[in-house]
Amino acid sequence: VDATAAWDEARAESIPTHSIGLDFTDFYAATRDQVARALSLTLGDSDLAADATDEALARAYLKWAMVGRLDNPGGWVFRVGLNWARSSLRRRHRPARRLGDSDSLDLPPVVEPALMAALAGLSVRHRSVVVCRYLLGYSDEETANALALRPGTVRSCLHRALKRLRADLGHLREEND
Amino acid sequence: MDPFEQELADCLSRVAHETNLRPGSPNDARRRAQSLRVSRRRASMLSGALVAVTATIWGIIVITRSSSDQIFVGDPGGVDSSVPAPLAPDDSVSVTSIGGDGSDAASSVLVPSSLTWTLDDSPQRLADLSPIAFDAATGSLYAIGTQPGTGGRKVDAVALRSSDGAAWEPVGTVTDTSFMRNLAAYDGHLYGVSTAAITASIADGEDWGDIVTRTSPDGVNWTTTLLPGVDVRAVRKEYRAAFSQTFDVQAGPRGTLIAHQVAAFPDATRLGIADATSVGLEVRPGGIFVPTPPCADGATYTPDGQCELSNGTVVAADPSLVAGKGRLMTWTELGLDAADVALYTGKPRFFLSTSSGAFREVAVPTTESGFVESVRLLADEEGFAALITPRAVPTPNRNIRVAESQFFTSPDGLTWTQGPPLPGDPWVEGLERSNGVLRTVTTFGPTMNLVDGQWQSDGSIRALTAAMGELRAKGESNLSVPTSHGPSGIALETSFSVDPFINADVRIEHQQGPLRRTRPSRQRHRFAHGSGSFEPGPLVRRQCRSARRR
Repeated sequence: VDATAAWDEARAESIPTHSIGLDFTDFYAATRDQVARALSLTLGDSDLAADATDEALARAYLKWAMVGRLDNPGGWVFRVGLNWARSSLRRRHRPARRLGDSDSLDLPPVVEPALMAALAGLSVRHRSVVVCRYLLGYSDEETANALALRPGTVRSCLHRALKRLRADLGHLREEND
Repeated sequence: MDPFEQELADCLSRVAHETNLRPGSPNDARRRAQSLRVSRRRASMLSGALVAVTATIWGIIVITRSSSDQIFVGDPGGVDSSVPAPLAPDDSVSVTSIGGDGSDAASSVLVPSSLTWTLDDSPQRLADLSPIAFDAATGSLYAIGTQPGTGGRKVDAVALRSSDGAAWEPVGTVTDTSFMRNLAAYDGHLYGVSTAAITASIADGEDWGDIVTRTSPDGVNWTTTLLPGVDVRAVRKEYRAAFSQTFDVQAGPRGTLIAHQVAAFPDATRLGIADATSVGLEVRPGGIFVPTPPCADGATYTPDGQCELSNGTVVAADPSLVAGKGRLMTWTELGLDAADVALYTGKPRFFLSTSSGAFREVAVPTTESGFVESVRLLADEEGFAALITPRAVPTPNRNIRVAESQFFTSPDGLTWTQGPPLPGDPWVEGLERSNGVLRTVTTFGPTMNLVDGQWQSDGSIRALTAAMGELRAKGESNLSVPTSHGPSGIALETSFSVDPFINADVRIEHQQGPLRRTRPSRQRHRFAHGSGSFEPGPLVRRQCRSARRR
């Protein structure tokens, strides 16, 4: 818990994570489930997400001297995991599951079914931007770094994704209004 | 963030946290990383660096550290930002071709290395150069080798001393010994563990030599004493077979420590396992794996390992019928007590000698029952350290060591404290600690690495870097690399010899210069090749080019 808190605090204050002296074990504890859940929402497959996260963390361990010095190593793990999962799906000739599909059984009973349906309507890229921005709490720049996109592309994706989500989830806005 | 975005974030968070995730641990990631590293190395090997050939090889690589280049020295309490990141693959590549007569086609290749390699003369007349030991007090490097030209079961060993790993002088003879595989040295005193004089044939399987310690104040005069409480012959009589080995011996200012193991092989009859032969039994964590009888349905597995069909015909067993299948019988099911379990699992035993000189058995650092692959010791001014590597259980497709080693430290060899996990490959051949840096030489399959780990303020050890030219031997998957750390560097001994007593070739490599991020511009190798009488063979000089990729 302390490691997670220190990590979150460092990230919130844009402190380079290597300067807080966290080692791989701390990083793993702070990151693994967080990234796996984010990938699960992005991919619609919790097993694949866990596998992708574990693969990415193994690669992070091999390159820890480099990854550990990144400002946002969690973003690196997310991107590597996402790329690995998509490559894996391509090798298996399977598309990423659409959230809300009948075989998306790995995901929990939906708190907000309309949310899942709305997310399902997004492309994987748009979904990953939304997840980075609103689940992982990354800034536009951090999201851009994590996904190897330009900040402008992130903002564009986010704008389009939000436009669609607002249309599909209008009731959320109405309730808040 | 507007209210809609806030609500979206909350919903995403709730859904994410209700997702059922498969649990994971940092050790899982490390194990996966090891597998990944192995698969990458295999891919690298397939891509084919330059491979050259030597016949059977014995070598010593001495890495000499420079006092002028303190790259790896750091404050033990913090992270040294001046420490360079590990070399990128393209940063420095040197491919070294090692020659020989080629008759035995044991190939080796050095790939990528950030080290500066040179080679000095080889001690042509050494045959079995087995254990090596740096004397941290005097800086000398000691080795035990067989006399030139001797062979067979009864050999006289010679103690040799070197100041640089290149030129050696004989200092004394160790008579009537067989394999002295472990040697330690401190302040001119030598400590070894071996079997006693071979007074009966090993081949008859009845009279193994006792396990003895051999100590000498000068390498000339040796005192032999039994390792207390280790009676391999008694174990062999009571059990089907026994196995004895010394993991490591290390000597330092606070005493000499020995890690030894005696293990019994499981006996189906003794254990009351009716449907298996002793040969198929396998000791695993928690019990003994009993393979499914390799017979067709309806056939009976006979005690001599054949299958008797229902019509009375006896046919050969066919292991392919049941490959990998079987059951694990727990220690409780087998009715074994702790002493039996310790013997079957080969629980390590530690023996300590302090100023009195006599060895006595002391407690091992871990209370877990045996099942140990390796124990590496360290003795220095701070006391002792032990790295205990559990045996890995082979998976169907990955026969690799992936177990997490346990690291312990002790000021006196009696009380131990568990330390943090060590970075790097799990198979550690040698340890050294100084200035807050723990240096290990690791092997993983046929590759070797030098890993420097730095103690962090939270007590963990973080890998600073790993660097060593990898020495690969064709057809060798599990190298034993006696390693010793000393004030002038690290001595490594690699052996690929099929029969070290009769047909050992000798190669000595001497590596000079610090670990640095520069690349060698020129390397020279010189070989002494001999067989039988160990007369020097033709010298082969090679220019080893380093291919720099920019």
